[in-house]
Amino acid sequence: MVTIDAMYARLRDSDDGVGILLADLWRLDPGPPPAGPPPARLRQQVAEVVGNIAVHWPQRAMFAGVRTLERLGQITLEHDETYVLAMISALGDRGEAEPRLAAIRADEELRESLLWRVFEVEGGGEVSLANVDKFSHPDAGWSTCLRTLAADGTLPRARLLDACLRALARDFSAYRAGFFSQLYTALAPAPAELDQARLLRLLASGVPATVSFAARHLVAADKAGGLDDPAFVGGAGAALTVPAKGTPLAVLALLDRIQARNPLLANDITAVVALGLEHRHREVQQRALALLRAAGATAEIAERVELLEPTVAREAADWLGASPSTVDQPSVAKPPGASPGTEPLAGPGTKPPGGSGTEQPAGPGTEPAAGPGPQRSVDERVAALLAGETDPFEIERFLADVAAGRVGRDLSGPARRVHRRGDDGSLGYAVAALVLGEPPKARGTLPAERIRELHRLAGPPRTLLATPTDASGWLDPAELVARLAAAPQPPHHDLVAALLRVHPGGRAGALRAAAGLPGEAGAAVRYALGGPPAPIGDRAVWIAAARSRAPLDDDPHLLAAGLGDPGQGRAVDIPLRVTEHRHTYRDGPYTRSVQWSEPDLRTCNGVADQPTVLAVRDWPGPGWIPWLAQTWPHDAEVFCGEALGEMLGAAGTERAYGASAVLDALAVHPGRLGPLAAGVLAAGLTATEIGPRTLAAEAFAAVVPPRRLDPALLAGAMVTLAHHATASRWSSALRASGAAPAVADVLSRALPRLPRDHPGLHALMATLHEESVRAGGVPVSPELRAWLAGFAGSSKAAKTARALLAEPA
Amino acid sequence: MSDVEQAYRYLRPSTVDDRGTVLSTSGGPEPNPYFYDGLVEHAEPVAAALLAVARIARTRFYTPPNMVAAAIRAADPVVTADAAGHLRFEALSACCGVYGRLDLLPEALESAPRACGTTNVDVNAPMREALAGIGGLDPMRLAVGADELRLSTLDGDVVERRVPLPERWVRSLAEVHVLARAMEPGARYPAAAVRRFLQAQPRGPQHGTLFAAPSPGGPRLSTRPVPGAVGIAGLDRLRVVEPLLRRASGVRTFGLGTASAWVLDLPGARFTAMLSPAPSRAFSGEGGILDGGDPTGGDLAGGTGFDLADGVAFERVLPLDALVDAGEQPRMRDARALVAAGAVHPSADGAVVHSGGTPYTVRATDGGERCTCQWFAQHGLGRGPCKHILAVRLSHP
Repeated sequence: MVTIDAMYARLRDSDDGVGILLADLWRLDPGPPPAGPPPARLRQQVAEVVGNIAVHWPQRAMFAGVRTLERLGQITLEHDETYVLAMISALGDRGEAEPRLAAIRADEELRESLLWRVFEVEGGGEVSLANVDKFSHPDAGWSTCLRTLAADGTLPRARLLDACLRALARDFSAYRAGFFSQLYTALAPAPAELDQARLLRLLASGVPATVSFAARHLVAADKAGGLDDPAFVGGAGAALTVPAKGTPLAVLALLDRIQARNPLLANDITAVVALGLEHRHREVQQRALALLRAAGATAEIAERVELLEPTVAREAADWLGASPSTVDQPSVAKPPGASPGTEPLAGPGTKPPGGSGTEQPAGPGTEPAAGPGPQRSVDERVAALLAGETDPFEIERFLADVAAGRVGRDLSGPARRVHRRGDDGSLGYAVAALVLGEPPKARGTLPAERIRELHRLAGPPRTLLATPTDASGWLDPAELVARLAAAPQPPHHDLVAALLRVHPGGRAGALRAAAGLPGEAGAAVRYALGGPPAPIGDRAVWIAAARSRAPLDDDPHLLAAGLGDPGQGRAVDIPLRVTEHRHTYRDGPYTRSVQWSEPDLRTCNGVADQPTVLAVRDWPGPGWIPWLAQTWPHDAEVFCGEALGEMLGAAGTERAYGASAVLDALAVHPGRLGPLAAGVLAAGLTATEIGPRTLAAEAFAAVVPPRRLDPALLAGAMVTLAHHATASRWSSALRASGAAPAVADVLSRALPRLPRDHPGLHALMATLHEESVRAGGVPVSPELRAWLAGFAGSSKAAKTARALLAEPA
Repeated sequence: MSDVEQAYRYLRPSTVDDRGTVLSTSGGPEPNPYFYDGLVEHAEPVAAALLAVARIARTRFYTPPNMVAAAIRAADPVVTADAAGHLRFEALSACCGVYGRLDLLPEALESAPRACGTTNVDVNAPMREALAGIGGLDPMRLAVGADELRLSTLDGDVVERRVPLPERWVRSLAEVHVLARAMEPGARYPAAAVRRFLQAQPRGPQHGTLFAAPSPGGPRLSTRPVPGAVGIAGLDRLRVVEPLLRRASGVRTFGLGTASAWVLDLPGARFTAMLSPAPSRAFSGEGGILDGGDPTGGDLAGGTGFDLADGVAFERVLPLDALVDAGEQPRMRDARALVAAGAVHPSADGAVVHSGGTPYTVRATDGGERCTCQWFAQHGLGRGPCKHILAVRLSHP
C-alpha cells in the first residue's frame, strides 16, 4: 500500500504525475488522511487518469483510489459519462473479487447513486460491463459482484432487477446488452418479481437476444398464471422473427394456450402466428402452419406459401387444395423476377450494376474484376498488373509484350514503388522486376520460372511459344507449330509451358505442318500432337509432351525411359487422403487442444519444369493462383492437390487468402476434375468465410449438375473430410447452390457412409429431405434406405430419417 | 484534409415524454428552427427508424489499419423539411461509408411542416431509450424544434457539443447524391425474405464484396453481378436495416458497381440505407462530383439529396458554422497543380501528363478516357477520374 502523503510527495517531485497516479492509485491506502494539502495539479492529473481508464481497461482496481481522494475532499470530479466508464473499467480487479466488493461496501454514495449509473452508460471498445466481465476471472467480474451484493442485502435486489430491464431498453449493442440479460437471468427472479410491462416493451427491442430474453420470462410469467394476455399478443409478433427457433416455438405454444383460454383474441393471434410462416426454420413454419390450419386461416397461409420450406409448402398446398408445386431452381444466370418472392424493379433492371462502359477495378478480392478489355495499351496493361490484376491472359500478353520489346521504361516510377514495397513473392513484384530489368525473386513454379527465364533472355525481340490463343489458357496447335518454325530454338520453360497447353482440337493438321520442325523441340511437339516417339533428351520437355498427348493415360515411351511417377509417364491418379492432427497443451489452469488436418497425398520433391507432378512446392501468393491453375488446362488435379492445404485452412480457423482464387479457378477450369478437385470443392463448401463458401456453392452449381465433377467423387470427398468440416456450413452452402437435384444426389451418396452419430448430421439430412422434395423425389438408393432404416429413437435425425423413408422415391 | 469544428447548440435536450417526441434543433435557417409539431402515424416503426438513423451516426463500420482507438465523434443527424411536405432525417456513419435516411411521408404527418430547411437534431441517450420503448400502432406527437411559448414552459438544459466536422463528411453527402442519381434499380423483395436472408448470414465482419441476387423466395448471395443483383460490400453494414425489416412491407434495391441502396417501405415512411462500394471506401472519396460535364464538379456543398423511391432530388442546406470548402477535392487540387506546372502535353493519341517524374498517357476511347496511372488501374472511372485525366480536361475544356 501507498499512503496518500507518499503519493503526494512523489507527485511533487516528478513531472510525470499521470504516470505516478497510474502506478499508485490501485494500491492507495484509504486509511490515514493526508497531512498536507494536495499538489496543485492533482485534480487535473486525476481527471486525466479517469479519462484514460475510461477508454483503456487497466485490469486493476484504480478507481478505488480516485474515490478515496474524492471522499477525503482532496479533489472534486464531474460525475459524467467518462467518470462512469472509469468506474466500470477500474472499480475492480481482473482476477480478484474482493477489491470491487470492498469498494462498494465501503462507499455509501457509490451504493446509493453512482453505482447505478453503470446501467445507463453503454461504453465501447475495451470498457463496458460486458467486455470487462468477458475478460475477467468468472468470480471476479461485475456480474458475480452484483449478485453477491444483492444476496447479502448490500444492494436492493428489486432495484437491481429493475436496472437490468431499464438497461436492456436503452438501445445498447447486442454484445453489451447481453450483460444485463444474463445478470437478470442469473438473479433468477420469482414470478412475482417479473415486471411484465417492461418485459413486454423489450419484445420490441432491436436485439434478437433481448427479444428472446423477454419472451422467455413472459412464458415463465404465464406458467405462474399471471400473464397479461392481450398485451402479450400485441407484442408477440417480434418474438416470432428471432432467428433461433427456440423462442418462436415457445411463443407459438404460448399463443396456442392463450387462444384456448381467451377465444376473443383469436383474430389477433392468427395475425401474429402467421408471422411464424416467415421464419427460416422448418419447425417454426410447421408449428405455425398447424395453428393456422386449426384456425382455418386460409388467406394467411396462401399469402406466404412461397416463403415456406419445400416440405412445409407441400403440406400447405395440400391443405389449401392446390397441387404441390416444385419451386423453380435459382440459377446464376437466371433473369430477375422469375420468382413470386422477387420482382424486378422497373427501369433497366436487367443491366448488371456498374456495367455501363466504365473501367472496373483491377485489384483482387474486394471488387469484381471485369474483363480487361481489348482496348488496353501496353502501358495500361503494365499499370493494371502493377496494381494487382491477376488475369492469366493479361499476364501472358504482358510477357509477350516484354519478349517483343514493347514494354518501355515510362512506368518505371510506379514499378519502382511496387518493387520497393518488398513483397518479393508477389506477382506484382515479379512484374515490376521485369519492367525495371531487375531479377525476379519468386521461384519454384513454372509461371515463376518463366518470368525468371524471360529476365535472363537478352537480345532481339522474340515471340514466345506459350502465349495462349484462348482466354482459358489453350494454345492452338497450328499456332504453336508456326511459332516454333519461326524461332526453332525456344527457351526451355517457354517450350514446356507451350506443350502443356496444346488444345486437343486441330492436332492432325498441325502435326502435318510440324513434319519439318528441327531438333528435340520439333520432335517433342510432334509427339505432343500424336506423332512418333523420339529419343528423350530434355526430360521436362518430353514429360510435358506426353501429358499433352494423352493427358489422362499412361505413356509407354516415358515409362520405358524410366519416367514412372504420376504426372510423368503415369497418369495422375491420386486418391484424396487427409491426416488429422491434434495437439493438447496447458494454458494456466486450462487444458486446450488444437485440431487441424493436412492433405496426405504422398507428394514428391518436384521441380518447377514438371508441373504435372504433384510435388511439395511453396504455395505461391494469391495473385499467382489463377495463372497457376491454367498451367495445364487438360487436368485440374495437380493444381487442386497443391491447393488442398490452403482450402483445408479456409475450412478451419485460418484466414485463407487464396481460397477464393482457387475456387474461382476450379469453376472455370477446362480440364478433368477428379478426386482432388472434389476435395477442394468439399473443403470450400465448409469454408469459414461466407465469400469462399458462396464461391464454392457457385462452383458446385457449375460443375456437378453437368457432371463435369462426378457426384460420387464429391460424396467421397465429403466423407473423407467429414471430421474436418462443419456440417451446418455444408448444408447451407449446398442449399445456396440452387442445384437441388445435384444436392440430393451427392447427399444420398455421402450420408450412408457417415456414422449415424456424426456431429451435425441432422442438418445434412434435413437438406437432403428439403432438396429432394424441391427436386421432385428422394433418390432411389438401397444403401441410403438401409442406412435411414437403421435410425432408432426420437432424435431429430431419427425423425428426419423416418420422414425421408416415407417420401415417394 | 481540412477539418472545421461544428458546434451543436441545442436549447434543451431532445425528449420523449407524455407530450410526445420533441427533437431539439441546432442551426440552419435559424439558430434553433421550428419545423414541425403534430401527430405522426405509426409510432413504433417511426421510432425504430429514427433509432436506426441515430445508430448509423454513432457507428464506425471501418477502422483503417493504422488508426488506434478512434474516438467516435460523429456528426448529429440532420433533418430536412422540404417543399413537398416530407421530413427527412439523415445521417452518415463515422467512417462515412454508410448513409441512412428516414423519410416521413406527407400522408403520415398531421400537417405540412411549418417551414422548409435543414437543421441538426439531438438524439441523445435518454432519447434513444425512450424511442426504444415506443410501441403500438397509435400516432405519436413529434416536434422538430419548439416555439418560444412552448419552450418557456419547459425546464431544460442548454446542450452544447463541439464536434470536429471534416470536409469529407460534407463531401460524402454530395457524393451520396451523385451516386444515388446514377444507381440502377435492382429488385423488389418481401421484407420477410430480406430478413431471412440476413439472418442466414454469419455475423461479424466478412471480407470481400458479394452481391444480393434475386432468386425464388428472396435474395441469395452471389459472387458476381448477375441481372437484378446489387453489391453488398461488408455484409455486416447491411445489418443497419435488420431491426426495421419486421415493420417493413417491402424492400427495393438499387445498385451501381459494388455500391447499393436498400429502400424499406414502412407504414407512412421510407428508410434508405446506402452502402459505399467497399467498407474501406468512404463516400467522400468516390469522386463522382468530379465527373460531371463541368470539371470543377457540381454540387460540392452537399446541398442536394436524392430520393431513390420517387426518383427526385430534394434541397438541403447544411447547417454549418464554418464554410467547408468541399470544392477543394484533393484530386482536383492536384490536377490544378499539374496544369499550373505545365505538366500536360498533347500527344498523338491524347496527352502525356508528367507527374512525379513519370509520364502518364491519357487517351480517349469509346469507353471513356483512360490513363496509365495506378489509380486508373485500380479504380478505372468508377471512383471518378484520376488527377491526370482531370488535368487534361482542365487543359482542354
